[in-house]
Amino acid sequence: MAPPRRVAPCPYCGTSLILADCPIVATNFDATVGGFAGPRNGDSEPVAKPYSGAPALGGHFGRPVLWRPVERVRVYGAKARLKRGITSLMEDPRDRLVAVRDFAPEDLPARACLQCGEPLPDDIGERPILTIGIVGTTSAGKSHFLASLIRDGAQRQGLRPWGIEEFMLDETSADAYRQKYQAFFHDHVVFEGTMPGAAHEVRKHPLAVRTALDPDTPVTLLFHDIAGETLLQRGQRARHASFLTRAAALIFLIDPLMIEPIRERLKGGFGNGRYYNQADLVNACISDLGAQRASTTPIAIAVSKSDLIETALPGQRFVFRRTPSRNPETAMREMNSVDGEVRNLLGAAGALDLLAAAERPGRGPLVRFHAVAPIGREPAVSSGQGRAAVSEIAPLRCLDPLIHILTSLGRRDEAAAR
Amino acid sequence: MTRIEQFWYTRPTRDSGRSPGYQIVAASPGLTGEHGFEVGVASRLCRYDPPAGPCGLAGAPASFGWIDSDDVRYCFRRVPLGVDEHGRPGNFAAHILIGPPNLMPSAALAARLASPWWWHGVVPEYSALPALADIDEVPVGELPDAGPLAERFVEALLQREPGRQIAVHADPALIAALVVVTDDALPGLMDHYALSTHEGPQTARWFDITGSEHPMPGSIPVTDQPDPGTPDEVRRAARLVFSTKQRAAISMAVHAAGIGTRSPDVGSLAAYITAYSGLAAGQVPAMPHLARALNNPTAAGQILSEYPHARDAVAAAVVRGDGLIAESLAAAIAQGLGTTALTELGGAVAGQLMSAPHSSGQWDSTLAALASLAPALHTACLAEMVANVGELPAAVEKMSPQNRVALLWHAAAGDTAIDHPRLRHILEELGPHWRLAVDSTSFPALWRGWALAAAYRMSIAESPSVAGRLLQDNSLMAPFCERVSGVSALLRVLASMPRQEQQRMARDFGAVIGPNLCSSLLEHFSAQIKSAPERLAFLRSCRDAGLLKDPKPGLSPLVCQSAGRQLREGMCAHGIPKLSPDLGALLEWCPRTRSVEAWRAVVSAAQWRSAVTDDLKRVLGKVSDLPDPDERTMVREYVFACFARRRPGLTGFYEAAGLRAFTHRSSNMIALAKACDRVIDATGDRMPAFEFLRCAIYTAARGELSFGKAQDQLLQAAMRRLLSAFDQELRTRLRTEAMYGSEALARWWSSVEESAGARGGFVNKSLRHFGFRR
Repeated sequence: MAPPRRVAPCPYCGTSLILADCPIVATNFDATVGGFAGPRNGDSEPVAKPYSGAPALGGHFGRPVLWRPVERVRVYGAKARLKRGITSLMEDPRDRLVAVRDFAPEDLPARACLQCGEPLPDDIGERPILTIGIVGTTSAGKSHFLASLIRDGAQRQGLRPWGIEEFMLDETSADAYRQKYQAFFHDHVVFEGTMPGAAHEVRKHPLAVRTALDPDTPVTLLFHDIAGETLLQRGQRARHASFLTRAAALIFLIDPLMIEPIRERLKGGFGNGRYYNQADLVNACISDLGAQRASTTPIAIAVSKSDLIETALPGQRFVFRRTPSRNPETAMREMNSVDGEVRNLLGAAGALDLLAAAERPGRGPLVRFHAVAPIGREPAVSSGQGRAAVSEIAPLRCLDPLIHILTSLGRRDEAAAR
Repeated sequence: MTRIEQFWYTRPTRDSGRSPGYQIVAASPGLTGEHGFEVGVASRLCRYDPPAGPCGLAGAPASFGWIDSDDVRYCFRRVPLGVDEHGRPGNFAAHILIGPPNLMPSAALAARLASPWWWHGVVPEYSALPALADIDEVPVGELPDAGPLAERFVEALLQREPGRQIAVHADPALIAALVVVTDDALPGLMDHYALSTHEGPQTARWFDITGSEHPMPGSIPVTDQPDPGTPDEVRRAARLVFSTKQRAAISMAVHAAGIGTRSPDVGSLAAYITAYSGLAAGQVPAMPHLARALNNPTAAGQILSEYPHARDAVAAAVVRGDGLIAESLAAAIAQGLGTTALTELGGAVAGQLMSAPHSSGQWDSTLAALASLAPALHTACLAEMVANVGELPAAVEKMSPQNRVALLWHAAAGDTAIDHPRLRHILEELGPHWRLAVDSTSFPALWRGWALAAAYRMSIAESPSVAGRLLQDNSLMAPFCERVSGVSALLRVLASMPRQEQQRMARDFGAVIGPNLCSSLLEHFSAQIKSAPERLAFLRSCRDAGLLKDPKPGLSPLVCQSAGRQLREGMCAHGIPKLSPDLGALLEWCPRTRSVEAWRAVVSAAQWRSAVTDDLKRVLGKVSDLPDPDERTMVREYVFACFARRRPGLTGFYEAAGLRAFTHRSSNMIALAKACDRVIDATGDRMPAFEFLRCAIYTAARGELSFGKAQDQLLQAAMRRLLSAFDQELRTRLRTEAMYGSEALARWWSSVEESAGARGGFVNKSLRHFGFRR
């Protein structure tokens, strides 16, 4: 196993952290009332006592601190280091990581970010933590897509045929998934719209999936379920979705109902409201990456609600409406076909700006078009109950964008290794 | 913010012509620009978590409440709207008010929960809303009766610890009603809490009071049923809160607990309520209750100022050394308990101490406790003791020196009872701790001087220490000298002082002690000055300073001696003229008779040496400078009397000077004659007169004696007197000598003899015999 890395970026705020400098906090404690405006700094917040009874060394953004690093003093030169008892000229013992496992497990100890105060994932330093941004306008189906992606990937292990043996949620994410997304599959209840008011929490509570780009390259993927309203406003996006600027890959979900020719073909009164131009969002998010990263970041542009396209264009047969093959070679061919189909579809629908966003020079094979159906059926509204339900959940091809991304990242990793 | 801003938030329908998604659909003008930050904070409240379980849209409660952040209050009312036209559930309408808390009191907000004024989710065509000047612009809605749940609710509030949540098992309207009645009974209390009638699991922890949907672990439930775990005190207090008879007491308790201020002490409110209700009824609450009430400065101030029986109880507890009360008082004092209350408590403590016999140790411990609590308390106690000094028991005299000094200080500072025997006794009994009083700069000089004197009298303070302090602080002089009677003691102190300071201090001493003592002191002190010039200079300075206005019998001789010594020393070293200013001044100052005595000393000094003629000339020259003619005469007479009595000296004088010194001053001769006469009268010794006459004859024979007319007669008269005293033998000898002089002398002598009754034939015979007459 590779030794733990000493420096890693915070997956929540992006700050480069010397892990040995990060305090270890208890994440399992009796919370007290407060936190509406968020803690201003770590020490001003009331400090709860850790469950284990361990003494709290003050607070860090409202959490009791179990361990703090000694103050780092710069020591210049070999002589000075020897004088201070630092015999090795190569390694400062203060850089040695204190193991989180050394603390009482009932406190659920975790290293905390010095900048945003959030407990860092257990894997930090041990494996790369990659953020996969899922971007789309409001009602594009991001939450449903994420739910289906996790179900297909983790519960149904849909990536095994592709040689990806590990694809599992960590425990915290599994709890969150169970609480938020399970009802979708069990009760066939459609999600409520993701509330922008919760954006500040979403940033700190992504779904973490442990997987691997190849057998030797384990990674942790972070998925955020952020409201479309937040993404559409630049200020809100910068404030609550800054992780997109550090994303290792982007999945754009294109709402076909926002594409006028398709919307007009659909019955059911999707009337004459105002809609967003989704190409603007795609371009904005790619620009946020910066020119350098944009050229190396895998991007999947997936038309969501592919079942509606079939409804809008009756009589046409699409590869993306077929169940994907479990044979990787066949599946890859299908994905290539889907890429072409979606490009043609968007071109025919006049969404040339979307195609242009993907076809900018330098993007090449890193951008691929997909079509997904996160729900697979149109929900039936029950206004009296205030809920919407579907008779059957039949998600389709929700793993395709992720497969593209993982293979692209794997290839990039190999190229870098070479 | 000075107004109440508002906005509406929802996911509008497509028909509204707005962009899809959640958004602010209408807002007051203030929110669009200057208050963007507040809108960002308020956006966190723009969410609605439906209750768990299938309750349906109709069963979903409105989420109403308020929360403060950075002195801005955010009031919200959120209602679910169900499924939108896309079939997407979870839509809601939020109506948010943003404004300063004073414009949106919690009770006023709660009273408007059911107001029809709130927005219900219909997206308007316009997007501008008016800002509100006051919450009263919003009509009040109907609320149900709070009923017995109110007491349960107050119980929960009273026993709530910071950070703990209260979960009210009631519908939103009833929760609002609880807030209204509670705020009516305990004004301002509800403003300290963030409340939401319904919250989801993610946001419930923001609120101090929520509905029962997602309570935090450890929250206090409020239900119709009494909680058996509620402490009795809290239960009683909650009952009292809604008792109309206790309105005044409750009001005071609320005030005392600082409800409505930035740092309320809600945790002690139950204790305050219990304590105040008891106090109002004239009872003294149990000490623990009283102690808790005293924790708060406002409460402590009220109790100590307005309830004498409580104050006395607190004072008695302080005297007893009750730690609980002391801790509470310390806390109240640390938070700024008013000086008035402290003063009254200090007085009460003093009263308690004086009302019953207590040992000096108890006095000390009580005063120490007061001092550790607050200097003002200690001061007040001591001030009360001083004010009632007549009632002070003897035990105070045995208190610690520090306390005794402090007591004295207060007595002096208040300018009361300084002369009280108890206090004076305390002052003088400080013993080895006299420095505490003497060195205390805040102590009045009078007392410090007294203390110094007492210590010196008792031989506790050594002379050098005393001298040092007197030199350091001149104000100690008067009280010190007042208490130290006896010149010898003062002289000892003076002797301990540096030499260069002694004379100044002696003068200062002299200035503050009585004239008699002053003369005595100066006499003795100057007698110790070895250098005569210095001594005379000192005496003169004393005289110039008005210390020797009326010379006393004892002093003039001193001056005289000094003069003599000065002369002796001066003649040896410098000569008389150099010393004349001081000498002259002192001689002028001494009364006449004393001047003469002084001159006696002068003359005695002159006789020390044989070759003193010039000196004597100078002396006599100075005598002639005396302003008073009679005095001059007397001095001369005395001088010559002295010469006359001391024959060897006189002889030497005559031999050396041949009375030359007197030739041009017949007044000298006359004085000399009178002096001789006086000697004869006094002693019967005629020889001085004989010598005088003989010398006069010699002088006259040499033609050096020239008389003026008036002097001639006087001299003749004097000589006649002398001659009359002589027997025949002496006369013959004189005559013979006169006859050997000049003719003029012979003639003069004959006339003298004739006037003295001698026969004329003798003269003629003599004249012939000497060839003057044929």
